[in-house]
Amino acid sequence: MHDLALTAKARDPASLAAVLFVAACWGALAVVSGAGLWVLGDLLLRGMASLTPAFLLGSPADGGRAGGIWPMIVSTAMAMAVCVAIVAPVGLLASIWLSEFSTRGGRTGAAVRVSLDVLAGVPSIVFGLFGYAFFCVALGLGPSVLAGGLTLACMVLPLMIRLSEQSLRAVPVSVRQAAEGLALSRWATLRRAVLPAAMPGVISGTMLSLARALSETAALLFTAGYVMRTPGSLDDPGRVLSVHIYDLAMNVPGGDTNAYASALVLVVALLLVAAGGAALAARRAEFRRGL
Amino acid sequence: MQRIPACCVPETHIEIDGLEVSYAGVPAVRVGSMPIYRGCVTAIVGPSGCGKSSFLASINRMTESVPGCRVSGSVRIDGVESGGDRRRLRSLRRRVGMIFQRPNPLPVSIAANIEAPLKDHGVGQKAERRRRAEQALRTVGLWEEVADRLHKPALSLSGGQQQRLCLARCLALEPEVVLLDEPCSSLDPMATDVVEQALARLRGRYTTVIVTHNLAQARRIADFTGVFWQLGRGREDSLVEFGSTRRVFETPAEELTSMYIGGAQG
Ligand SMILES: Nc1ncnc2c1ncn2[C@@H]1O[C@H](COP(=O)(O)OP(=O)(O)OP(=O)(O)O)[C@@H](O)[C@H]1O
Ligand SMILES: [Mg+2]
Repeated sequence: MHDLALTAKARDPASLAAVLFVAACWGALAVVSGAGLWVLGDLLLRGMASLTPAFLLGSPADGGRAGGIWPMIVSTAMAMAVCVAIVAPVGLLASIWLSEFSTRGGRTGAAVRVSLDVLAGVPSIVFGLFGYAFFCVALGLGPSVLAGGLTLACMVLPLMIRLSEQSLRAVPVSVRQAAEGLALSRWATLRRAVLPAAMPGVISGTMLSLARALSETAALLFTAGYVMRTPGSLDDPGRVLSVHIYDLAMNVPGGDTNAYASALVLVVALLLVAAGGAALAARRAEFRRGL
Repeated sequence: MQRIPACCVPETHIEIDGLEVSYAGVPAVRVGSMPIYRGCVTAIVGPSGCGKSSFLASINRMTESVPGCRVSGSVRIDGVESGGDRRRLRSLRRRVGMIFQRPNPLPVSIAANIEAPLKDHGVGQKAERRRRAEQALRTVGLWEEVADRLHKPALSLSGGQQQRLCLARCLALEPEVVLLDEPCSSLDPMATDVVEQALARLRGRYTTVIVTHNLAQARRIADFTGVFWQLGRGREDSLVEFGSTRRVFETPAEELTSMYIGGAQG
């Protein structure tokens, strides 16, 4: 049906440009999704076979060439939990400060924003070094999932704050005007007008930040540790999935099969985070539909 | 709720005196003197851009938050000058509620739209707030339609229902004055009719000021009408004519008025 409409119009030169433009858009989409599908297909092809319950729940053996990845799954989950516990509240509060309380066009707000943008662009290895020097050495946490999670939090906070600030700023004026017309206090305006309107965006921002943290390797190499034992507590070191994949691929000859299987697990985890975020955001979005 | 006799004997509730609203130094509307009578419905009509919304917003000082907007002159409510610091502004806006052109329910549930503002203003316990919400929803004729979906999103209601919810939310705070800026302009004739019926129930209990482009609506619901016109071309006062709706529509004193209601301009 679309094709018919396009060819019918294509005779006229103005719509030839339109057709080319549409074709270019489809082309770009094809390239992007093709690359994604290829990676995914490759992972599935090479990793699927070893993806068994025993692999997920077992302990690694022979330097990771054999056995499973349970300790890495636990380490990853613990580091991510630390990261969310810091990023969600601190990020939300900081973005509220930026969008609601910093004076409009003021210097402090502008300075904070620029610093955040710079920080968001700092290579993750730098956060790794900082995390090692600060959390592991200065605070004496040593390499541990706690130090790793805190380092991840520092790394993704700038992104989270800026994304969530944008959602807060994108709240339609009419919502703020409604609150003002009702003479709501600042707190109630935030709680009942601005936050409910911004929440879907804030949630997606958090999930995007978490996805970045989940796939991070460099920041965790020195901070979370390298050992393949299951961490018993937050103070214990642990090897997260991405570090495990890196190690298997780079340092362990014959480790690629398990590297692929682990990568597949990581991708599935990323998809789960994204899907969870989307579902959560959709539930909140019901209340702001039509704004 | 205090019942005020309908406006057989007009008693001034709000007094406008030398009011001027300007944007970036350019005057948008100027009203030398105009009374707004207690318990009555006053309609403001006039061509687009003549400053009706600006005039209305200056009554509850919504103008304060518009960048570049300055208000001079005086608006006295029961003889007391309106305006002041944040705290006085809060009490002013609670006494003078406002309904906007586009319905603007908060992005929360239907019940929370009414109960949250009540809570924020420190009204009663939960049960009392619930009771007030129900009463307000009944006043605007919305109770039957939403009683079984109070916890559904307010934005899932139709436009007309949303506008009545906004009216109910405003009434639950028990204001003395209700300002409405073209409340029906985004509604179809049937929804308009329902909102109008709700407005009719306010007469006598609240002082109502309504901006409307719909002259038939002004005739139907307003006791008094003020006709506004653009400033400039020798016009120094935006208010062309003010009087009882009947008088203004049947025997206009000004040529502009007869032209406007005759549909020759505007
Ligand atoms: N926020 C603003 N900034 C600058 N100028 C404004 C602003 N709001 C209104 N004005 C100007 O003030 C004048 C009066 O506007 P206002 O909205 O009060 O008119 P109105 O009578 O309500 O018009 P309408 O019938 O179209 O709603 C217009 O010339 C408009 O351009
Ligand atoms: Mg207007």
